[in-house]
Amino acid sequence: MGFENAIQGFTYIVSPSNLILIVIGTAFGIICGALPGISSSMAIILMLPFTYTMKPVASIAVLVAVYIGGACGGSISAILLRTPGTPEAVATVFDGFPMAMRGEAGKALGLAVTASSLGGIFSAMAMVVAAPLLARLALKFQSAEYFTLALLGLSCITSLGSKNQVKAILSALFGLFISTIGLDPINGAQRFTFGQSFLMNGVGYIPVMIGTFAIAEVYKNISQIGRKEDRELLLYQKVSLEILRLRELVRLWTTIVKSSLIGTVIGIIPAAGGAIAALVSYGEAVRSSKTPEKFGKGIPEGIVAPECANNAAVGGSMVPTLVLGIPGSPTAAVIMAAFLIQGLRPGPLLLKDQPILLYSVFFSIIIASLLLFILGRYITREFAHILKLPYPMLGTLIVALGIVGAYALQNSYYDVLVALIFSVVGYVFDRFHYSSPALILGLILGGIAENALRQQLIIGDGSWLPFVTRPVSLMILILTVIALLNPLIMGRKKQTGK
Amino acid sequence: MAELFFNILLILLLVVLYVSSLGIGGRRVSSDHFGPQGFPQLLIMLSIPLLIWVSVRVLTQVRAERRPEERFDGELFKRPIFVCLFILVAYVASLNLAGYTLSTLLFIFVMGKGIRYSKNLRLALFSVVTTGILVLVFGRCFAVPLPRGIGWLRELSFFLY
Repeated sequence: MGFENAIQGFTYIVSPSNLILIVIGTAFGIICGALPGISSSMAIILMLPFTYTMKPVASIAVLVAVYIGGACGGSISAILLRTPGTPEAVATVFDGFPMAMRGEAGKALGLAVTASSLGGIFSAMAMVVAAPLLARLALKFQSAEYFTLALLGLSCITSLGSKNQVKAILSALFGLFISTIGLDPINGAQRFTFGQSFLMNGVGYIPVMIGTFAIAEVYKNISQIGRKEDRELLLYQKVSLEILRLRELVRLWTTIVKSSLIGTVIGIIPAAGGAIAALVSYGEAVRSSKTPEKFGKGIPEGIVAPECANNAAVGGSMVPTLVLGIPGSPTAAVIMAAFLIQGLRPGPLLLKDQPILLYSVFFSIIIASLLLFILGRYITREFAHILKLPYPMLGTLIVALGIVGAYALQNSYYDVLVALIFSVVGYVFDRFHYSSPALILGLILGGIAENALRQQLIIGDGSWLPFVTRPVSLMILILTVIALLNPLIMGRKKQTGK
Repeated sequence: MAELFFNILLILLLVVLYVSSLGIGGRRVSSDHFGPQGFPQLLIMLSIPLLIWVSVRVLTQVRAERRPEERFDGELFKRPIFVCLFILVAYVASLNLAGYTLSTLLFIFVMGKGIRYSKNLRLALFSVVTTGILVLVFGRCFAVPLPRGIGWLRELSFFLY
């Protein structure tokens, strides 16, 4: 019965009209993802009106394709411009941009596209094989687990501050602190808003990222114009996407499998999302690496890990959406809205009544993931043309794109101001060897860490024991301790020459 | 020394924020032992000793001139960065007055000149094309309500996006 449904789902998806829709959806997703300020969820919202008149499966297929394309597209601007196109691509910047700076932009993009594709395929398979089981497991995730998960994500700061660990920790603490600005989610108190209404919603991490990464990078390059180092800026002008060779794939297989698994599992957990999946996966790649000191300087594993994870999170987030009717991410929530528009109510009954739907989504993800290889190649090549501009033009374009990207997120002028302020902060951080990535990490994980910690303490009436008595929480906590201590132990071993 | 000044500034800022956190109110949830101010206060208390430690290290390094790779070299904001920052601030300030199209058009040209690009015609053409593409993509295709400016500039912007 299951096999028959799979065959039916496949034949439906590979019909010419549906294939064309998936191609359009994937291309649209990649383009939107590459544009700073246009997130995957916004891309899906923009595509949504076109799906009203489509058949249910076709409409879901095209939206899933946009989702897959968007998750991959964010890496293009992250690698080429140091501006993550989507929140999911934040960790791709850490190694993608340094690799591009070395003149290996094509390789970096190839790694990102290949990893995205493999991550997507992995999560689609996991979705079909273990959807109901995984969804039930995800429901067991409570505040204690969310808190330890945030700690695990934060543990990769030890690898993000290779020059100065203390300053990396300080940067992460600043990020965590910035995340507390705004209304307190538990009792609604205003924190550090100083009477300004625009601060009540807090400080968004995308404008901060645009400021600290993209605009600050322009300042840095401007200060070098005319020097010998200026030539370095020209090294990565010719960009042609290089698809990974089999030999390299074999070398990276452990990172690919592990990151895909992490991405799928975190994608399933409601509200965790691709950005956290990418960060946790990056941290794990550092922890398990024999050369953790190379991370942040343009190492393939540093691109493969977050890109595998953020695309795997796409399939993962579809599991609770389809099986339980609980969206696993904000983007999955928009897709769920599309289900409702089509008159379908996601949940256990939907899968019982329309089993073909699950397989249709599964094959949509697989086809869209495979299409990333082809479409990614062309779109990246076109996008990379801007790198042929002289730096005064390119730098200006990056700033203009960053400003409009910051604005477009919430149509907020204040987000532009945030980007502007943090461009100075990012520049100063860079000059004094503080860590902008660690700042972003703290900002992203701050909300989830604080809320989960306080919620768990409220549930446990002030007791800290659930963090170590709940098996999953304890397991993640142990992983966190290992992740934190590993670089220190490795560093000491190297110092002593053992 | 610039780093030392920066660290001291950060410490002072954190002290001010700590004092500010003492006044955080809101309805008290009885079982919320941390409270709305607990987490930020914890972060500040962790940050200040670390900042002091970093500052002391900077000071000792400046004196002993050891480990030059960790010392800050050169002036912090060089002239081109100041120029760039000034143009950027002017651009952001003008968005709500002159609207997105005119501000961006001028910004791209002036910024290009600020980064010492000498080919005026090419730069002017680049400004027009880039502004056009940005307005088309964000204003038209993605329906982002870009700033429209005031007065007749606002009226004019409705023809574009």
